[in-house]
Amino acid sequence: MKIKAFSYIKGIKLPKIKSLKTSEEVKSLEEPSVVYVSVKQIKGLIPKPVVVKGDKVKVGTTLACVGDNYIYSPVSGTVMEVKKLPSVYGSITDAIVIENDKKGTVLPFIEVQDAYSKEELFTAIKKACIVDYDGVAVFKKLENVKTINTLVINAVTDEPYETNNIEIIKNNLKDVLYSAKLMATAYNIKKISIALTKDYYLEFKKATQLVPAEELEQLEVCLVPNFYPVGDESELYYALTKTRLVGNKPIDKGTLILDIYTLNTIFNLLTTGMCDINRLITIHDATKKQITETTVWAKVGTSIEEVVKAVREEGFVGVKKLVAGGPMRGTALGSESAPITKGLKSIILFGQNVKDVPEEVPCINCGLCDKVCPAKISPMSLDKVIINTDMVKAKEMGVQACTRCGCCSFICPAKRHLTQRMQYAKEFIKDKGI
Amino acid sequence: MNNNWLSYSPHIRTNSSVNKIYLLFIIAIIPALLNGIINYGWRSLLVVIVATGVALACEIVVTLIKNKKLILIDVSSVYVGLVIGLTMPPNISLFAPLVASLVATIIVKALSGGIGQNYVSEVSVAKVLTAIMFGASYFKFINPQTGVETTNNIVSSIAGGASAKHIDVLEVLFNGISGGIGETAIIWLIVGGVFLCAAKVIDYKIPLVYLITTLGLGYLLFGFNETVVLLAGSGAILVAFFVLTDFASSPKGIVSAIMFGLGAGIITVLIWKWGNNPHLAPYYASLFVTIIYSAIKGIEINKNKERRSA
Repeated sequence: MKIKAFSYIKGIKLPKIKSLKTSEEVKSLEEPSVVYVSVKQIKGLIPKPVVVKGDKVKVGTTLACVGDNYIYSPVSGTVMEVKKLPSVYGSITDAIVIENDKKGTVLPFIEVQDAYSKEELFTAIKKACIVDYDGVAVFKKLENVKTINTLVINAVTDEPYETNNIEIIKNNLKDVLYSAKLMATAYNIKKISIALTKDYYLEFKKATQLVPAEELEQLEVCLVPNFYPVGDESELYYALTKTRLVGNKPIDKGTLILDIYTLNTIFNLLTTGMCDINRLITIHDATKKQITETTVWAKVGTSIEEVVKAVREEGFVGVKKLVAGGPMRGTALGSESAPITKGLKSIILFGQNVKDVPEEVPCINCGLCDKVCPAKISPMSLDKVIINTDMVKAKEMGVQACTRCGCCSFICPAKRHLTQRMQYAKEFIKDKGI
Repeated sequence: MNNNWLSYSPHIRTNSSVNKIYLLFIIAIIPALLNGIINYGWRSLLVVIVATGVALACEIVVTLIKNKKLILIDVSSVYVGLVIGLTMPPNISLFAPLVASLVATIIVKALSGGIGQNYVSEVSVAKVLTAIMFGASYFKFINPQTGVETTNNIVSSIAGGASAKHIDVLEVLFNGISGGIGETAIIWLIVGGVFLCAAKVIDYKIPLVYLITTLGLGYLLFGFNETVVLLAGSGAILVAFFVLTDFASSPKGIVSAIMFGLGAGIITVLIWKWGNNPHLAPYYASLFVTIIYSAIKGIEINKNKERRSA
């Protein structure tokens, strides 16, 4: 095992939030009696439901599809209805309501084998519609690829309310390395490395004692500093190789970057024939002075209301703001009946002490936003241009390179809503076809 | 059930604000202020109070006229008033800081659009204007140690070509040479400037390049001792840390900041050598480079810079 340290210059250091874990082990919630499967779980076109009331389904039956985008059932039972429910992305979409008969009869996607060739692996990943951490389907990364030199396992934690990568490292490191090896054999990849933040190196070292030594020989451990947003694909590529990508993705240069949870899902698929039935989710309770966090395995399709009631005694009493996702990119939800999708990592509950949205004052041209932007655009100048609704000039200045990371809004002392304005400009440009 | 608050990401923000940044500026300039008042007495305190008070009052009047209600106190006007007070000579008539603060707040800042929109450094405009208006009484030179008026001005004589081999450089740094109230406390100004750079409030490039250029070019044209006396006596250290680094009129990119400091330094030394009034050299230089920067702000020089497009 070789260890290498890297530096990352752009980005900001977010304040660390100390939270207390309610239990050391990760438990599974009991099976819900009704499951709501939302049709919007991957980026792309929204699928249409293909089942109607009264159909009997098993685990793995197709519930909705459009093109290559399939939505599968996580339970076996009877379809009760198809109704409109809010989703964790903030919009209202169709959801298929299934009554769970708790038997769990499975219709597997693939036949389980010991070794997989490149075509078999690609077909399996494409059929199961496995998503990476930013909602993009994994098979789109592997389409039309010529050679892959490196596989990087992305276990970076860069947001203050932590995601659950550390639980996967503690409990499932062996499975992750096994599936990484299967992919390396199929695609002829020479080097496997794992990217971690420096704070978690000790826990990783403890977890490697459960793995046999010969599997760790060729693994390279890359330590990156804890600066947000080093967990993004392009930023991680920049931190590891110091080259900027212009209009490209890392896979075009021969580096495949996959999230550690995605590799765990691929392991489930290749060894049991089925995946994405349960989802590892962390609930951060920030309503009291002492912040607590709980990590559980919950069935995909459980509504957020049920999950929070099983974890928190008071239920939703005292919760003023509900955020699905991390604090920098997550969406504030208006109702608790939104169901869990297969890509949801965490939920944050804010209480009465949450700060109000600050009011904007005029820009003082301090230039801090230009210094921290990872995409190297200038939010200071774009702010003035977008207020005048000059979207042609905004497109020339490169507003479409914005990745919505939120660094500029975070650091602005005048509390200007910069991220919101950039997103408004991008949607304006897309709608009017400029 | 549906009483949740909704807002756009990000859901956490820093604790800093515009007023807190300007408070850090004020903290950095207080040592120089105290040194000046201790050296020059109660009259200088009155000058600073008039400058600060008039700046704050003008800002409040302008805010009430624009918005018809007072939202919050703008600490940046207090900071500008303090710096203007520190550039005034200690025994000037009280009309000078009044006119200076009025011009800086209303004509330069408010008429160009408010905070963050000024196209020229307002402290430089105020100082140059009052120096021209108040003529001879502006340039009475008082020794900071004894408080006695002298007719022999060392800065002008050195600029004229005299040598300064008999002057101890360290004594100049610690005790100062006659000039404005805050311009004589060299060591305290440097301490304040380094504190601001360490707190990451201002960029360290502009003051560093300015000081290196003036020292280097001055050494070639005058000599080392002479350059230190000229720097200390004309307020160049105050200009380097507190006037050239005004947010709205200074550039942010690396190459632009270096060229800004270089240009200001070259103009300062040229005015010392061949100009009429060596005491105002740094202020003229700051006027010049800030106006040029505002004029060419919109032009993109580096057209083929790679921008990541989606």
